[in-house]
Amino acid sequence: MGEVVLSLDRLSKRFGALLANEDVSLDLCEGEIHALIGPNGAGKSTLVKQVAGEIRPDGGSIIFDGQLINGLNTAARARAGLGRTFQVSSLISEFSVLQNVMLAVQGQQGNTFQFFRRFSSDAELGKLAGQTIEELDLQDRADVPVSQLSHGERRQLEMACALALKPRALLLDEPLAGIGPAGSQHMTQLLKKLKQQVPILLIEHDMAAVFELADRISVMVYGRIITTGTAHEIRNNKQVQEAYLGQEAS
Amino acid sequence: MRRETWISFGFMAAGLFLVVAAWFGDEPFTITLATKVVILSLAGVGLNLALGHGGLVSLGHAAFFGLGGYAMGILASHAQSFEPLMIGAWALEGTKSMPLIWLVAMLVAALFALPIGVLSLRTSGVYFIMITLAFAQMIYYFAISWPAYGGEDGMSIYVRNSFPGLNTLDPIQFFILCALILAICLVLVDRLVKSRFGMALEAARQNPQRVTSLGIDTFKLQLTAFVISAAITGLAGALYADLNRFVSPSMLSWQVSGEIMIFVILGGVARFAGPLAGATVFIALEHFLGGLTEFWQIWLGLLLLVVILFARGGIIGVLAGERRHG
Ligand SMILES: Nc1ncnc2c1ncn2[C@@H]1O[C@H](COP(=O)(O)OP(=O)(O)OP(=O)(O)O)[C@@H](O)[C@H]1O
Ligand SMILES: [Mg+2]
Repeated sequence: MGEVVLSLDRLSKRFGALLANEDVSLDLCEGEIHALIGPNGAGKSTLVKQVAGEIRPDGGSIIFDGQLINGLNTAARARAGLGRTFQVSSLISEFSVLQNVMLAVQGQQGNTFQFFRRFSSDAELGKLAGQTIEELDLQDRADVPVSQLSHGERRQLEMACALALKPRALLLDEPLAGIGPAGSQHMTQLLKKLKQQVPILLIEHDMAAVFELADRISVMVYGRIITTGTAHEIRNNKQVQEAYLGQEAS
Repeated sequence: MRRETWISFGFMAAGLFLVVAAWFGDEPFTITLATKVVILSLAGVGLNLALGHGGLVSLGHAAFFGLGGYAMGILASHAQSFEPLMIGAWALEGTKSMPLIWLVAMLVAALFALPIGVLSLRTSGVYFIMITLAFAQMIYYFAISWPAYGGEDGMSIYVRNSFPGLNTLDPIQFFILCALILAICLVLVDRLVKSRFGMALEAARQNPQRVTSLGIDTFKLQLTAFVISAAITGLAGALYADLNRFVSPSMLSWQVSGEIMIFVILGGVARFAGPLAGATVFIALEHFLGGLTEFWQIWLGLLLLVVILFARGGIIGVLAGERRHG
């Protein structure tokens, strides 16, 4: 395994009486896909939101690229190289596909405060965004507004935006949810290819895909990680079968 | 060209035609009325940047309009009395030069907008509306209770300020000056809205979460837009005070904030010529209906209701026949 890129140390988050994350520690290494699985409401999205900076942990630390980033806001974390997609897709709905990715490129370049040159005829933004769009096979849909995209296409576009940021780590919250078998196949191949470039923390309910993709799997139940291991280890773990996989089978 | 562009330019051409006709017909009153429309449109152009493009529903823009007015009034009054304006140990000369006054008006409005924006942008929705209103009211009451510059009664400037090479007291010359400023601001705001900054601002209005996740600080975007928006409205305030040769706390009142907002909504939120159409219709109603009945604002209210319920794109939106965000 490569060197550690992202490391979470005893993160905790409470919502009133509910302990959504309790002492969660895990790390993400260069070249790997680390899957985070667990039943609905286990606290997986809550964890990703803490890493991305959308919610503040009650305790614990987040170390990214060797630096403590607890004090950075969401935008600063994105600039530092944390790319993410959302469980419920989140895009600029009145923008076209191309414009969404161009905005991501602009975020990556960090030069938003230009007031005069036209965004839409900015050759540099257009070119870089065009490349990313092609990587995700969206080139035929470049000028279509987001509001007219299918669910699967939105997921692809979210990926395109995340990739345009040239992230050092990717946080993907259920990228395969609701995109159908063909889309799922396609996305799985893409993720396989991607992990060479950027390590991925993958939340996913599709077990077949998780077992195919993940180098390591962590299982979260009631806000705690009960075990971490390879696909083989997780499949044969009694505790996991009881808490989660068994539940799926029944 | 898009249909909206045609309509915008057609609208402006029609307005110019009326003014030229009034000039040949020797009707200075009409020209002055048109000048009022132009200046109020400019105030709307300022608010449209924050409200339309930034989604920042400010009910406090009268503050910036009035501050621009007072910047003009204070500078001109010191020029009239030949007494320097003391700021701490600094002695500043007053001035009757419009370009200088405009610059100061924009700076003052921007300087006030900065802290107001920093505090207001911590909130959103109804709270943002209320907090901007509250700041404007504070400035309003301050102006009323500050006797140095007229207090409640306001102050008059006896001669309109000067612009190199023009006789600003000639209605048509002052109109042309104001119309040129409006045109320049329209073009600059249009460029701004279509730039990297403007697109990010627009995106942040639609989905701040997405913009933040791209590493772009929505707070900085919105604060910048708010400050620029205030500066434009401040410039309009300076011109308005010059038009009337009078400034008073009423320029700072919440009714003015509401009226500027009506221009934007009536004309079409985030539309290029929306504030112009809105201010034109508003002043036309006030002038013609106001001459017939004291209750002309009931008709204005009805019109506004129709626009909000059935035509979210405002007058320009209806004419352009395409829906955009509302
Ligand atoms: N902002 C919030 N306020 C209060 N409770 C919350 C909040 N966000 C999440 N929760 C609760 O915390 C628990 C964990 O939610 P979370 O979204 O992290 O689960 P998840 O593992 O992502 O589930 P799923 O697989 O359904 O997406 C849930 O019980 C949820 O209702
Ligand atoms: Mg979730």
